[in-house]
Amino acid sequence: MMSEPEPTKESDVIHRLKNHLCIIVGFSELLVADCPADDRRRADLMEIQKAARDAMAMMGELAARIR
Amino acid sequence: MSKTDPPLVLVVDDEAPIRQMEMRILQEGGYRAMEAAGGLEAFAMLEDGVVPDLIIADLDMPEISGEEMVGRIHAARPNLKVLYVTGNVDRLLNARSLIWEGEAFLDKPFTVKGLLEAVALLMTGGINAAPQPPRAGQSR
Repeated sequence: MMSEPEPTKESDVIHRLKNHLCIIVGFSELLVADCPADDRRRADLMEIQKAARDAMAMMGELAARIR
Repeated sequence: MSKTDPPLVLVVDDEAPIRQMEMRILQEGGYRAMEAAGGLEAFAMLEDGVVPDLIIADLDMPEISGEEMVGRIHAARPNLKVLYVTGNVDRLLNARSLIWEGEAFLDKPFTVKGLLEAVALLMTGGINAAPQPPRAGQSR
């Protein structure tokens, strides 16, 4: 059994944020896949997806800063 | 399971929305999928005769960690493939120097494509492969 270092408060918050982002990214991608190309809601979903992916990248930067 | 059935993936995660999302991704990707909210529920399913080809395990679960759960399952089924999902992959890899054959890690947040590629890589050795029925002796 490995012994993991105790999580810091910051890393715990990032871990929880990652879980939320995971849900936003995953479900928005599933919705885009189900949305017909001519559905005007598709563009809205694509915006959510883009923002979520940008947030993923920012989360990576933030996580690297607190390492 | 018949020889033509696609692989069965058991998703173990205490976070219901993430579990349900993984289930949908897998099912829409052509896999069969079952879910458990934690290690104890997974043990009960395996004792009831569920025979997964791969387990997707959250590492950080309250009642029993993903790695401890997998360790106990591997005692009976050492070649069962495992995909760990975690929001703390760096912390994990700092504490662990080896990744065994048949296991992989996926960092959260992941994309639909990322999850399907990780599962395909473990199941078939390639990231673009469609789900195939497991070969005889491939899973136990």
